[in-house]
Amino acid sequence: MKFPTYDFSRALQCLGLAVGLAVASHGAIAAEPGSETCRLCHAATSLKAPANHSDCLSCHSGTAEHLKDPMKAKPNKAIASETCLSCHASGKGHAKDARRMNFAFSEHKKAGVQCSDCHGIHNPKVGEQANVADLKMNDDTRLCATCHQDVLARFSMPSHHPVKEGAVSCSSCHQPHDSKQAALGGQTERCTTCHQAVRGPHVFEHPPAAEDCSNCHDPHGSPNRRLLTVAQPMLCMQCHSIASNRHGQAGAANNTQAISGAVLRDCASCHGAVHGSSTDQHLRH
Amino acid sequence: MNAKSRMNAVLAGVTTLVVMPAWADEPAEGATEISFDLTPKLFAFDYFNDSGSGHTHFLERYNYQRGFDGDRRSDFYLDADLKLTISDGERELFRLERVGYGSYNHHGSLKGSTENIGVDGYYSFFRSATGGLGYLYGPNQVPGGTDPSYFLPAGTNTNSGYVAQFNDDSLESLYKIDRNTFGIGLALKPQLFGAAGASSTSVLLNYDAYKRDGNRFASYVLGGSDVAGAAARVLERWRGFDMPVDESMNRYTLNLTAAPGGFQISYEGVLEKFDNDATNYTVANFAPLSPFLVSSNKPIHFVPDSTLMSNNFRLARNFGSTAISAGYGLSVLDQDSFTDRQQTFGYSDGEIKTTSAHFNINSSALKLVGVEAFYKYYNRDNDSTFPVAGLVSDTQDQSLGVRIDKIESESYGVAASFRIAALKSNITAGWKREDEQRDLTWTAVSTAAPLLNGIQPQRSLYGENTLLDEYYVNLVARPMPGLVLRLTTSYVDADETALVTDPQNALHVKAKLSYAADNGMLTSGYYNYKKLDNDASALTNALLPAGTDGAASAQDVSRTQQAAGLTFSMPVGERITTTANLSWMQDDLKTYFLRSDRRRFEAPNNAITFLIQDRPDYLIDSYVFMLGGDWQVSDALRWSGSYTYSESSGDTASGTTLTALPAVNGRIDNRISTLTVGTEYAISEKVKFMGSYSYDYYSDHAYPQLNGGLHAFMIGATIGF
Repeated sequence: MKFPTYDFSRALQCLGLAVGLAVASHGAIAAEPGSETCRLCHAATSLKAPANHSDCLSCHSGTAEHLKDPMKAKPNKAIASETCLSCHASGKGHAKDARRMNFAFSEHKKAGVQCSDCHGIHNPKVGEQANVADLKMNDDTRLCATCHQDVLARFSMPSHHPVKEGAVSCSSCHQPHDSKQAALGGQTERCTTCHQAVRGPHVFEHPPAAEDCSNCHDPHGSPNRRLLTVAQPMLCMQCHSIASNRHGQAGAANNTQAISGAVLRDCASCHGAVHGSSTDQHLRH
Repeated sequence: MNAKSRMNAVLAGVTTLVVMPAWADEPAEGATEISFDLTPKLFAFDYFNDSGSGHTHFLERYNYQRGFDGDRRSDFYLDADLKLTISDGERELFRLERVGYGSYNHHGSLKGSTENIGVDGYYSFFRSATGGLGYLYGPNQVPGGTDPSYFLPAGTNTNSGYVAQFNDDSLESLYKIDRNTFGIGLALKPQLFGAAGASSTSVLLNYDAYKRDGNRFASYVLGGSDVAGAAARVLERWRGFDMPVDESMNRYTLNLTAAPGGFQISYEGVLEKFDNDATNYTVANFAPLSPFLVSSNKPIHFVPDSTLMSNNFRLARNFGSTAISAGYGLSVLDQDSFTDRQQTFGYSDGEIKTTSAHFNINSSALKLVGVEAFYKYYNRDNDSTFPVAGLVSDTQDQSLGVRIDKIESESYGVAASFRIAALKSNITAGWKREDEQRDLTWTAVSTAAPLLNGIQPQRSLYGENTLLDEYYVNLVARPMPGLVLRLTTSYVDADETALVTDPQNALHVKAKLSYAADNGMLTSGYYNYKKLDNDASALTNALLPAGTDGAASAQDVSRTQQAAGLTFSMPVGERITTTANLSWMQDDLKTYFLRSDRRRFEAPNNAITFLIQDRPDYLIDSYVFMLGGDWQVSDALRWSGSYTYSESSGDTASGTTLTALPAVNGRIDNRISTLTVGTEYAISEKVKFMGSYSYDYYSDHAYPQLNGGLHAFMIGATIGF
């Protein structure tokens, strides 16, 4: 029978240490070993953990059985979210736990995503050595991209938020622990956290802009300029009719004259105050 | 057991006893370790095959570079990364980092942490040149951007003759905006407020800010009263200018969190001040450019200063396997600066107040069944001054489109989750309802003297109410180790919709299958489908003399969005990883092109006749293909490479609409290729060399003047201290 050399050696290390400890302590092997015992086999360099996570037993169970039979009995590797949340949803974790208090209702949790799917206690989930093409991206963006490939693809479109360029990251707009159903504030308030120039208040509002920026814009990426979901004039045609006596070739009140492509191609070229105006009910300026 | 295994076993035992302390090659607890890495980098770039440095290169829009000689096309420059960390063997006490890709793209962070206090800081500087690209699509930059036939040869059309000529007052073609973002936060941790953090109280103080500088090309059309003189005056109405951008934002946030009696409570207070320091333009600024322009203080693209104050309260509590959460928020947005015209007419208050609240409950009390319910409330009040005679009024002719006085919405729903142990699955079925009501003010039109015209609800596709139900089923299944299936389907059925872009009926399907093998192979595929229809709104004619409404032209919006993709990641041996990704996205929108003989503002005392002109179809396909790999040749040498190709193609309209559009607007047909290769070589633990080369090329078959490529080189060295 051929034993896997590496595993067998490590098993013997643990066994040897256990015997050594027993000899040193002049007694039987402890029923619940402490973290120091774990580190004897699991080198600290692979066991880097933030200070408050240095107690292995706070997350891993079954360590006593593992010490008796390292090959067969192994402590749990997969950590259920409830273990993390016992500290990080109770305020016992750290100062930023206020952002995690609604994780129970979050879209990530409902999709079956565990804390350990994104957070690496021992090693970061995204390696420190990024692919050369991803060097400009922030770490949290690279993490999100491991699952949200459909969103990542949109950042390769001609018009996009500069996420791949490193100017913004996923967490600039999204709270991964939060829930849409437990969020406060409206949709536009999220966008106008950075885009205050268009929020007004305006004397004359443009209803789709006042209600939800995503009525016209795709914040991730679009083949159209200015992150528009649909190119003009189709975008505007959904809600607006075009008056012949101001847009028709003769300027006359009839529906038979041509409406030029010069008019159709870029509605906002004339209606420049498309997000709202201080002065003009036609949102031209 | 063979000889090799026996030897390994003996060595393992001896090694253990002899080198047992060696696992602690980490510094002893309490000993301070400082590490500092400096990475000077030399960049060289060459933008090629474009129309010259007088215009923005397509690839400059998110990658603006300028070298030592001030050249934006071919030059080189230096930058440096740095990283400083201080740890005490137990925790990282301090980290300072800065990453730079030249003067126009760099960012940094600072983090300090002790048992009691944490400090976080950041900054980011980025220059975007998308405005320069937008200028290239301006009316006088593309064939068909203006139409002389609107005024010539008759020379009498003063209604729409402005389309014949665009007046570019900018004297500029390069537009870019710098955003400098920075902030710092102080966290007072639970340990500071009680023994061993038992109080669970924490305080966060954050300061966030940005400075935004640059310029953008702003275009507009003046009204008929802004020009005077002969018929040719109409040609002066359509204009564009170089509009400076000079904005700053400062935000102060206080967050208090505590956990008394098992409850977790949180308060967040925000004070945000936005200032526009750029020149506020009026018609008077442009009047000297043409004898036809009537000088006035009418503002052009006014951006007000504003203050936002928010207060948010949150509460959460777990009762065994039941969690509840509640929250309440109040925000007030105030306008701080006003135009001369607003002040003259007595418009003294610009204020939007929003209130929101939520209540959520989630219970897994039953072993295999979970239930969840939520209620969410949102209210937006427009408390700005209204009416203001001469500026915005529902009793003055053509002085109001529609005013949103209030938007109030309630959303609520329930869901039940079932765990199916056999398939290791979780199925959730739910329902939610969204009920929105709007208080809208329309012009109080009159067909009796004094006559008053204005937009009325019958001649708008914007309504007061939205009432929709959504039914959904989610499945998360793990039928075998490493295999995960996620499937979400939802159907929306609306009794009323306020916007035609809201779903009257919608079907949404999201499916994703992923598999992770023990050997490190990862593969996943997804498919998303969304179909939305809305034909619930119509525009009706206004007929004289009775002023009753007549024939209706119904809008019919149908939109289908699809996306699919495959990802494959495979380690080849211990030292090579490869990744491939293919994505496809399609957007298909059909809507009616509705026209009318007159403006809706002219009803009800003028006949308005609506007509369905066309039913164009916007259909665009996009593809993204990415291939990447990393090769750790040896402990010291690493190669990395990636190739990305993305393509978007299709027509932005169809039928007579497409025929009318200029070529650059009717068609989207572009490709971007990016090839990147990089290497790192560690001479020692403290010194590492790196280099990279990237090749980008953009080709646009609809607008060939945007074609162009970029060669970019970087060499650098990391020196550790």
